Amino acid sequence: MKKLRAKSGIMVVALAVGLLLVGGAVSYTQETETITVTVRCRAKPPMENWRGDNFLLATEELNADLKAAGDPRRVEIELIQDNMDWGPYLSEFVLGFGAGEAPDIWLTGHEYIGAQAEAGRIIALDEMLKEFPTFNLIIDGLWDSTTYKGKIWGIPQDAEARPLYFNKALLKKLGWSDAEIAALPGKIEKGEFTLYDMLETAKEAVARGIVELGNGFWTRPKNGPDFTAFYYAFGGETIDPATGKLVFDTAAGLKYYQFFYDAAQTYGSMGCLGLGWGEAWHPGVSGSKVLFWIGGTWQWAEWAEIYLKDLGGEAYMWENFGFGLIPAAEKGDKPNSLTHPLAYLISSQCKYPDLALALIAKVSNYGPNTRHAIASTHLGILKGQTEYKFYKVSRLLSETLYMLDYTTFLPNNPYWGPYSTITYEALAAAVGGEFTPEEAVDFVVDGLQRELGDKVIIR
Amino acid sequence: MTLRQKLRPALAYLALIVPSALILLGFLWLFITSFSTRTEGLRSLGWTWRNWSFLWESPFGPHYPSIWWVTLNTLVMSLIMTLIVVAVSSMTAYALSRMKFAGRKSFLSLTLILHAFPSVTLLIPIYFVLLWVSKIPVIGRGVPLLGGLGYNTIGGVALVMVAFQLPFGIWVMKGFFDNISWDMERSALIDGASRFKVWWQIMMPNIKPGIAALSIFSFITAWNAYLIPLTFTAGRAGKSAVLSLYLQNFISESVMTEWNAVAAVGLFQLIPVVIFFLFTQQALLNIYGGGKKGGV
Repeated sequence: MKKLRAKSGIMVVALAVGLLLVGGAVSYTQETETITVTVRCRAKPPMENWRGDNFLLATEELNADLKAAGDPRRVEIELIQDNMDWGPYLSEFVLGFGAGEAPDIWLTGHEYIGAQAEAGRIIALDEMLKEFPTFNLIIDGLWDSTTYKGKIWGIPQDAEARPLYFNKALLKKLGWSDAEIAALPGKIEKGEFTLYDMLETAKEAVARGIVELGNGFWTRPKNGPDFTAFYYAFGGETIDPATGKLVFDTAAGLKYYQFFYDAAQTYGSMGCLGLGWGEAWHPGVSGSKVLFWIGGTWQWAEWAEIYLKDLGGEAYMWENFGFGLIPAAEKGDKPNSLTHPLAYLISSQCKYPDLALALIAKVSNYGPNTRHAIASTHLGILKGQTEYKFYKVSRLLSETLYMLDYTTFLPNNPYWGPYSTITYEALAAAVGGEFTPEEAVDFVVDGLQRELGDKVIIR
Repeated sequence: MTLRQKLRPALAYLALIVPSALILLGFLWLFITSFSTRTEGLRSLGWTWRNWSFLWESPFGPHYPSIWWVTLNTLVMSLIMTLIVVAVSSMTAYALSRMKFAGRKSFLSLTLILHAFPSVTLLIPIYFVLLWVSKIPVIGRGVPLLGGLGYNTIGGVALVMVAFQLPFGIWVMKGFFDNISWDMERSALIDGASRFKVWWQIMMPNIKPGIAALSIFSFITAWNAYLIPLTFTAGRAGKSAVLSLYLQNFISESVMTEWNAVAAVGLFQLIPVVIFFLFTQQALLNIYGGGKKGGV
């Protein structure tokens, strides 16, 4: 009898606990609504994984905020992150949008903003930004990269500088003293060391057999944003602020093509176009075969980890490599750099843009952004980030952040793709000696007018 | 046996061994590389299991889909495609081979024209078809394991692959049906068998080599498919990722590729195809031995 009573008692308690749990769960699901936010990022694994992984950490924090504010919504993340090429990555967004399945948050290069905004696939964020003071921390100049037709369409995610790297050991072989080498970045910043000074030095290195013919100065081996920085250096403009149309300045263009023509034909440089990145370009610059080259800050880690690990990695690089801004074209002019920020955009198919933006605000703060910056050697995007304890850990990032004061951007224009292709084709022909600088300019003018008509202004 | 008679088979063997050895060397390199830190030709500069670590941890980070999920996706897609292609091709080919009906020749020509289209030219029209399928309740989005038959689903990708493979399948199977004697079929029909019964019980057992061949070709085509999954699914790391896309994640334009890891994943990708081939090779070899001409 006693046993029966005990059993009954246990049963009653178990039932009560069960009811409480079920009731609690039911009331919780009734009170809260779980919303899946899809985040699509492009990242080279594992260095750039924080671009997307930061959202997974931010979710918990946002859910705590929502709970505290009495908001019944809770957020979970569906993250798709890979290393897809830009072409298929863009197609995927466009096709996904057509299917009504665009990701809520889409990370992409800022130059795609114009085309996506025109197509109505992304939303302007100006009004909502005011609700998240974190965004006031972002360096003012970076907002230019995500502004199109006077509205802000994206949040800068990272930035980089594209310094002019130089090989200290090769400069020493040319007879430069340690003091002269150390002073070079400063001379570039003051406009005392120009692009043609660089070519003269390169020519001397070739003439004395310190580097092979063609290896005095290298740019990237394929079309890309770096070339636009040189066009800017010669006074070129790419966008008309009044109309938002693309611009090609023939006078600046002529100087720009003259420079690259001279570099290849007279100064023993530019033997880089057409090389494979992994097979020849990276081994060339990191293997001390090139005197000057334009690279990205993000490549520093790749050289240290992949190409120079056996020689001591970063320590070896500090010993042998230096960097400065892209020199001015004329003495006393301002040097420059070019940053190509990626930006988080919010799809117009996103049902809860306020939550998407809240998540972006969380990942745009010092901690998450610094994690990404350090792991991928991209520059931070926040004011005062050089003072942040964990950012200071990286000497490279601290020493290059000043370059953002000199930075330029690609234009946010839907027709930048054909513009960039045509101007690069002319450059490749000038470097190859197939075009004179004048012919290169004519080719660009003809090509732009044929392809873009009145969408481009020729000055 | 004269010297000339002895030389003839020796030369034949030599002609076979030399090209085979070249292919085998390639596989040998793949195998050695997948277990090496670095290689110099066929010489390993250090042995390691690290290249195979993708089997138990994602090399791209913990939030990437596991290789096993990706493999399951690929397997489901390949098997579905193979089954549909074999079933539909054999039924269609039987009708085209044995029955006379209006438009038969035009249909055959049309399938050939369809096969001649490069898949890339049809991507956009197919995209719109998949969008339309996506809107059909349950079929579009709600099929377990396949996800559905619409855009960004394994089933949708399989469906598109089937469409591209069918013309080839129909022609291959028609060739096999054409080679089977009418006598057996006529006997079965006189005995009262239906057309379906004749197809299933008389004809199909006689074209096993054809079924094996088409299965292998279809399976390999689906297993290695790249363009269609790339276009109609979201991301190399999405829920619908397949092996060819996963492998591509190791290769980047601007970062040095870890070829040892690529070799290991490539070898892993090869294993199911080899197993599939081992199970069907006997039937497959019959094709090259002349098949079952004239019926058995």
